[in-house]
This record gives sequence, structure tokens and C-alpha cells, in this order.
Amino acid sequence: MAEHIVTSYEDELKFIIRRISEMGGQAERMVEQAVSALMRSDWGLAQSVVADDLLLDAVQREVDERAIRTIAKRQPMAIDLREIVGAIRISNDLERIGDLAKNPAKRVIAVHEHTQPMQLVRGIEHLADLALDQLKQVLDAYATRDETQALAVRDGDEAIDAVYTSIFRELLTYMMEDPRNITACTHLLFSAKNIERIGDHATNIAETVYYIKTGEQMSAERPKSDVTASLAHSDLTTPPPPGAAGE
Amino acid sequence: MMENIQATLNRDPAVQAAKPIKMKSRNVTVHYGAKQALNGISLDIPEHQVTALIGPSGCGKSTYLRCLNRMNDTIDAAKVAGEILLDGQDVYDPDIDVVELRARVGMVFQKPNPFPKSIYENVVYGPKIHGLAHSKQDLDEVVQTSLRKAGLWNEVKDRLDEPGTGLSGGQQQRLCIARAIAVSPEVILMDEPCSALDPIATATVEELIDELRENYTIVIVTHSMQQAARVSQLTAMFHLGDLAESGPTEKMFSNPDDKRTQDYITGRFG
Repeated sequence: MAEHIVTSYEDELKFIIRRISEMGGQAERMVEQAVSALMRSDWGLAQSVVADDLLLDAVQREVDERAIRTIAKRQPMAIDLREIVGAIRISNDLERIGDLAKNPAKRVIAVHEHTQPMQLVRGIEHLADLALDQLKQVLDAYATRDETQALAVRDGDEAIDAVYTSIFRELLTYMMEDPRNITACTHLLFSAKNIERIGDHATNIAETVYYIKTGEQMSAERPKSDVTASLAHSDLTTPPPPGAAGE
Repeated sequence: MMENIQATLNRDPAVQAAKPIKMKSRNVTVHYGAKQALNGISLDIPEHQVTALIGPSGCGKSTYLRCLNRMNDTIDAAKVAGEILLDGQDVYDPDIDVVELRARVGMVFQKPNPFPKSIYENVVYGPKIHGLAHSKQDLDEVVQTSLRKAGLWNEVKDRLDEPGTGLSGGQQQRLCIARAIAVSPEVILMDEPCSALDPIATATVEELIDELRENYTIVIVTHSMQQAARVSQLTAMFHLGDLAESGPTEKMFSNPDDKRTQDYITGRFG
């Protein structure tokens, strides 16, 4: 697309867009490090994730201020308006992703004070891989303004929800087997939920990318596979039939 | 639940039934001597709506506006072809009375141009020459109604005998609108009515345009994108004598189809 006649306007827009890309990179790194800290009981790494979150918050506030200043100064229209509103929304989602990465990092000590079999955290690692992949893809979609990839990310959230549901079942089973697992498993359950929420924010970003590019809202029908909210006790005591997790 | 949401959405004033067409133009071309200024414009202007004409300078939007009440007749070199219908009647029909046409399709110009007469005389001038009012009482009533509709009555009611040119810019423009309203037009054409006004006077005139829409069909040429977005329901984008795109204002300013519209409203070419 042609550049704006007013170059300072062009610069302001580019600045905001560049900041979003930087925030994306940082949020991605924080999620990676938080999960790695959880896997390896690395308290030092966990602390650096917590510290990084402050930076991410600061950048988010900067994007907000810049965006509002640009709206006030330039009264953007059409694609420019969508870019700016999109930047505000995406920076908000990325800031939340930072918070959600920080949370499992803070639980590193609590989880590892209580010894638990390694397989307990394996599921979470898998969940985090899926969420990170979604995040990477949606940041790519933002960088290239690719609405098809944005749609793929939205549809990909189903897999994360399904894995979360199976982790939920698994952790409850461990807790029922041995009450000494309860503390660690509860922390892990919260961590799993946080990672699952990261996937939801990736979906939000995908919806925003789609809106920026097309000017239309993504259709409302969204696959939903996190069924833990409706799971009954009986669902947990009898093992689910094969493939039921993805229903 | 979904039905409730739908019902709420339907209450949105933006979701409205289509209005009947007041003015219809088909393949309108204008030549100024050898130079072609309009290359076949086809546009429908719906009743009781504000239609904004936007586009860079020299794109033909004012030329098109002036075709609608045959103001171009006053320019010798201008040749208009194509069809312009007002309520289905061709305004370029040789039998049509141009003076009467201009009473039905009134015009407000860029710079307020009150006659060098009293405020009262400015308003009654039209009704007098069109024979719309005879007695003093009729004229008094026309003055009051027109000035009220133009939102000027309270400001000038005690000094109707003072010259119209003594008013402030914004008041003068509202006086010109009152003068246009006085002959009970059906359509009001406005050629950049706020470009010579300060932001407060502009806001007053914009508020007025929104109120006038209830009784009149309005076509406005404006260079201010924000003004077009604020006051109009339909927007037509002109470019180098062509109609680039026309459609609901909300869509034109949030997600236009034509690249020329996109580039113009976002300030990518001028």
C-alpha cells in the first residue's frame, strides 16, 4: 500500500506496529521460559520471567498511549483505524499472555517442594508446545496480515482445549490415588489452565488480525473442546472412551 | 437468547430500511468547452438522507452538485448530458421551469452570502418572488419558521431589521440555510457549507443538517472526511470525473471497496 502523504503519520503507525511485533517476541519467550522453569525446577529462570512481565506491561502502556495520541492527532480512517484499534487489542492480549506465563513461573517452588512423578509435568509440556505453536503462528499471521492463517489459528485452539481436558482428568486421578499429590497437582492444574488461556488469547489475536485485514469480524462459531466446566464426578471415575477428549 | 441479541441489533439506527429515491442520475457527463469534467455519473440520492460527495479537488463533485439544480446553466461553456430525475421527472426537460426547480432544489454555498439587506428581507426574498406568501402575516410566519428550523431564531428575533451581513460567519451561514428553507424546498444542496466556519459554528451547522434531514433530502460536498463521516448516511467518492464508489457512509469510512477511496480517506494521495 502507498505511504501516507504525511510522513510523520506513517512513522507513528510503523512505530506502533513494530512495538506489537516486539511484544509478541517477548511474550513468546516468556511462555517458553516459564514452562522450561517448571519442567526443570529452575527458580532463577522463573524469576527472570516474573521480571520480564514488568517490561511487557510497560510496553503495553506505551502502545496504548501512542495509539490514543495517533487517533487524537490524525483521526485515522478505514485500514489505518483498524490497524490502530487492532494494535490496542493485540497489545492487551499479549500483556495478558505475559501475566499467564508469569503465573506458572511463580509456582515453580511450590510444585517442586512436593515430589511428583515426571509424567505429571509431561502433559503440561505438551500443552505448552501446542499453545506456543499457536502463538508463533498468530504472530506470523499478524506480521504478514494473513487472514487465512488467522482462521487456522482460531480453529487450532480446539486441540489445546482437548489436551487441557485430558490433563484435568489425569491430575484428578493422581489426586484421588494419593492425597499427598494434591498440593502439587493443584498448582499444576492452575498452570495448565493458564497455558490453556494463552491459547485463548492467541485466538483473540487471530480474530483481530482477521478484522484488521478484512474489515469484517470472524464468524461467531468457534470450536469448543474444553469440557471441564461440565464434567461430572462420574465422568472422572470411569475412564473416557477413546477419542472422547476431542468431542 | 440469540433472538434477543438480534432484536437489539435491529434497534440499531444504522440498521434501517432503504429509503425511496428522491433524485436519480444516469450517465451524467459535463464538458467545459473541450474538457470533460464528469465521465458518466450514475447515482441515486435517497429521500430524507444526507448524501456526502467527497473526493480530491477537481474531481467533479461540485460540478455534479451544480447539475442537480441546473446551476451549470449559468456557465456558457458547460454542456450537460445524461439524465437527472427529480421524483421521476427529468430536470433538463425543456418544459421545466428552472426558477421553480431551484426553489425545489435549493442551494447553500461555501461562503455565506447573505443579501446586503436586513435579516428579515433575506428570508422573505425567496417566498416573495415565488409568490409563496402574500400578507405581512404570512411573511412574518415564514421568517419565524425558517429561522427556527435553521436554529437561528433565538439569536436574531430581536434584531430582524439589522443587516444580515452584520452577523457572525456561522450565523450568516445559518441565515443562508433559513433563506433556502423559506421557499419550502425538497432537496437542499450544500457546497462545503462549513469550510469558512470555526469549529463551534461548524458543529452548530452539522447539528442543523442532522435535524433538517427529517424534512429535506440533503446533498453535501465536503473536503472534511470527518464531517462526511459525521453527518451523512451515504457517501459518494469522486475521482478525476468518475464516481469511484458509493455506499453507506459507515462502510465507506471503515472498509471501502475501492482503492482510490481507501487511499483518499486515509491520506495516501490528495
